[in-house]
Amino acid sequence: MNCDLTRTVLHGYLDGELDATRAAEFELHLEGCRECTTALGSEESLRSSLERGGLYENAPAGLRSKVRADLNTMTAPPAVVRIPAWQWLSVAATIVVVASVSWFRVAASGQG
Amino acid sequence: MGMQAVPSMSGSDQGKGSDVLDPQDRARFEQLVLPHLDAAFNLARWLLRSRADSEDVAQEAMLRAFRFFRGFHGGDARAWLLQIVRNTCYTWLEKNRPVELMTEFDEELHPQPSASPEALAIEGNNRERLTRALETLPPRFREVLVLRELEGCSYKEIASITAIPIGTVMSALARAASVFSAPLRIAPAQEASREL
Repeated sequence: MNCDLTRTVLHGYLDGELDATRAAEFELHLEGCRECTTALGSEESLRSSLERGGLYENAPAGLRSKVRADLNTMTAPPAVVRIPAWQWLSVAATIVVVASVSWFRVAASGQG
Repeated sequence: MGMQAVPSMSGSDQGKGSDVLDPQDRARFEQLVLPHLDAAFNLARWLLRSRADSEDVAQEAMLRAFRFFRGFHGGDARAWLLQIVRNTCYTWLEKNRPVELMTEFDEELHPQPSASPEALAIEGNNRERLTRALETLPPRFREVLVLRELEGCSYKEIASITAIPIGTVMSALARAASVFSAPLRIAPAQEASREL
């Protein structure tokens, strides 16, 4: 392994992480560099074997429900607004007072 | 780059997040973060090399993520979560298997193998062989390979998850791949004798 690009640029090229200019430069380089060409083939075969290897491991079925149970204990219950009867009465009384005051005002201004 | 407010997992940060979140946060968490549970488990599984331990650690990481969810202001939710998973895994390893972390991210420990690429005989490789090769890599090599090849992360994501500079991701991957494939390379003669 003597070509620096094999170590520094090849992976970025394969992963599509190089910008267009650098990718084009590397393609040009590939035409003349046997080392990079073979390394590229080797990398591609490594990659496809990893893809076919089925190494990705999904979470066990039970984990999702365990996490949900954790979330339940950490989520505040939705705030239930409970207004006692006497508060309803005071709200109603306030409305009556405001309404009658404004009615008197309207009536007074109508007379003057 | 959307990698804000990720808590350090030093163990002394337990009390910093709020322990109870409101239902809106919960709904947002379920929508943005929970779908990446498989990614969380997979990273933990390869860092810890054990399904049973990974289940516990992934569960703990999800809990931490939820606790610190208010610090997540949008962006890449998967990378944000994987950063927390990784930190949780390393904290766990430091506590339970400190020897494993003593291997350095050092090229001298793992010189570039000189085997010719033509000798790469991984066509017939089964899952067990690949698993063994990946599991014998030092954790720092293993994580970049897992994030790139299994999780399909971009270099930018790998950089933010593993806290290595983005300029180093490419060379780290190259070294990791070459160390990984070394035991999978079989000299043609050796391979021929195996087939007999």
